[in-house]
Amino acid sequence: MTTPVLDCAEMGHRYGRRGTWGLRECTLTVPAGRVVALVGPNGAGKTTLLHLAAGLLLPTEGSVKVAGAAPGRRLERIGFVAQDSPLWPRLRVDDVLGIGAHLNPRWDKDLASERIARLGIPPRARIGALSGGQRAQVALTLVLAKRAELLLLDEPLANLDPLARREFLASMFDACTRTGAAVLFSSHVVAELERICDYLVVLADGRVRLAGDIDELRRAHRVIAGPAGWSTTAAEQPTAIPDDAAREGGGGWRLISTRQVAGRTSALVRVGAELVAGPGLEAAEPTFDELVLGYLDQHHSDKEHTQQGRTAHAEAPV
Amino acid sequence: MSWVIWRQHRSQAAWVLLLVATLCGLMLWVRAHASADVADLRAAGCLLGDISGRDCQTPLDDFAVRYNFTIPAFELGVPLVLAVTAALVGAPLVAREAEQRTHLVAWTQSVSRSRWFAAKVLIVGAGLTVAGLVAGAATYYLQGPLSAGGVTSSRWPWFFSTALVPAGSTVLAFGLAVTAGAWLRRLLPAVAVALVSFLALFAVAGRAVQTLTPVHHTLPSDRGVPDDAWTWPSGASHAIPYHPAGQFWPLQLTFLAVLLALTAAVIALGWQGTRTRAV
Repeated sequence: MTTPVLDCAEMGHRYGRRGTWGLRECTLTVPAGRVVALVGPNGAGKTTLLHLAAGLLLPTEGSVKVAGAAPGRRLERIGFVAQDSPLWPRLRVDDVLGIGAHLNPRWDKDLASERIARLGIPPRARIGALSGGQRAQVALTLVLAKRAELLLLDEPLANLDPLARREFLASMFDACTRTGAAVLFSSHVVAELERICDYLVVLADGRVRLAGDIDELRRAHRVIAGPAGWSTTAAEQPTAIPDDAAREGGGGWRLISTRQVAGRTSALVRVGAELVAGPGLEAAEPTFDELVLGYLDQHHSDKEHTQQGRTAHAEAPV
Repeated sequence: MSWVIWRQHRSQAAWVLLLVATLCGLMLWVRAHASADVADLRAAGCLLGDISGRDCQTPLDDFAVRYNFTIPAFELGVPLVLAVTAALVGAPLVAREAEQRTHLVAWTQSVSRSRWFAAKVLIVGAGLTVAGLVAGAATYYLQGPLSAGGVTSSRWPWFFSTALVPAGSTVLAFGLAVTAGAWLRRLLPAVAVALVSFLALFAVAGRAVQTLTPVHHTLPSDRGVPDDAWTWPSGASHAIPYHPAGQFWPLQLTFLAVLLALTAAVIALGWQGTRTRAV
């Protein structure tokens, strides 16, 4: 078996000795060539995960390996673009590329200058004078010309207009297919991710809620729509094939989250295998959005439950 | 790495060069005038051993009045200007990168963070050392005719601003600023902390080198302290401690070593901050 390009085992990071945990118990394996979307609300730990993978932070618990070694020893294989793609504002574009050329042994000079020229970015312009989108493109050029095997991009689409997003994603794809690089990128723009990524990681509250190949994940989930409140009445619950039910260690299905739409309840459900929906229920494979939002909803309602629980507990003695 | 450092710091280097050149130019110019005046005094016979018989009081007083400004301007000014310069160069080294968030770019190239830090500190620090040595040589050169003309009794009052010491003090201020910047991650607070801690450390280390090194003693009943000795208020009533003229260079070297050792310790602390402070 080949070494995965990124391998996190029970990885966690705490900011400060008694500070808050940015990420906990994150186990994640990214093989070469994968395009991984990292999805989650603000403060979910996306940036912490990317910084750990880039060697900017050290794990407080667990381990992280890039191509079999600590990220700090694999810097030449990692291309990292931070959120808002910071670059030295007073340097010129070709100085920034010069820095890339001097600090990276595998630097592809032609790729860098060709790409800057194609994007119409003046090489003599100062970084501070560029638009946010142009700066993002220079930052991406820096990591593409580095010929990294693992691209780590923190909210790369945030500053780009729709046209630039398409170009950006195309470049990313191109880099992956040409060099076999894996891409791990974070985004809140769920709608745009489906076309480009083949692996999904949902983070919430510093923990991985869901991780896997998107096609497999979709096959393993159903959206089941039915009369309002069906999911709470046991009689109408969907039934799974008994064998799988046993293997799943429970009812064979697990309710992730529900939402009320137009007087009906639609639930995202994880299933072991072929699922037979009960009478009056319709089951369908979830779309990418339904999958992501379903898991983010789960986290949301979990939180509400714990909060209600705490309130009740606190009021009990009174 | 050296190209990158040159590209990132060349405007700073130009400013420091301009500043040191101006400072040294001024000192050479003052020295030229002072040595001409000393030559006149010598021609009038006012620099010889016994001047009581001649009318020398007025020209000597004139000389002292004319060159008194060199004490605040150069004796105090040179080390202060160098320290402020070094703090302004050192504080942004990590702090500005962190403020601009470009440390995220700098530390994810193929060069490890330790190499990045070491190369920056060594190359920029070496530049400032050269600036300090040049300024120290210039003050030493200036101080000669000033003492000859009687503005200061000897080169001892200039001890902390001449010869090798400015190189050490400049490097210490630089190291403190780098370290303050690495921990505070903000430029202006780092400059302030660096300058305050520099003044405190420099004063304490200077006092320590002056008083804790082997000293000579003299009794008031003896011949007294020689004119070219280094004395300080010690509170001792019978045996007055002092450093004779011959101790000047050994003490310069000692103080330089102390300053460099302090700098090394401070820089190690700065690396700790650069390595461990959350990104």
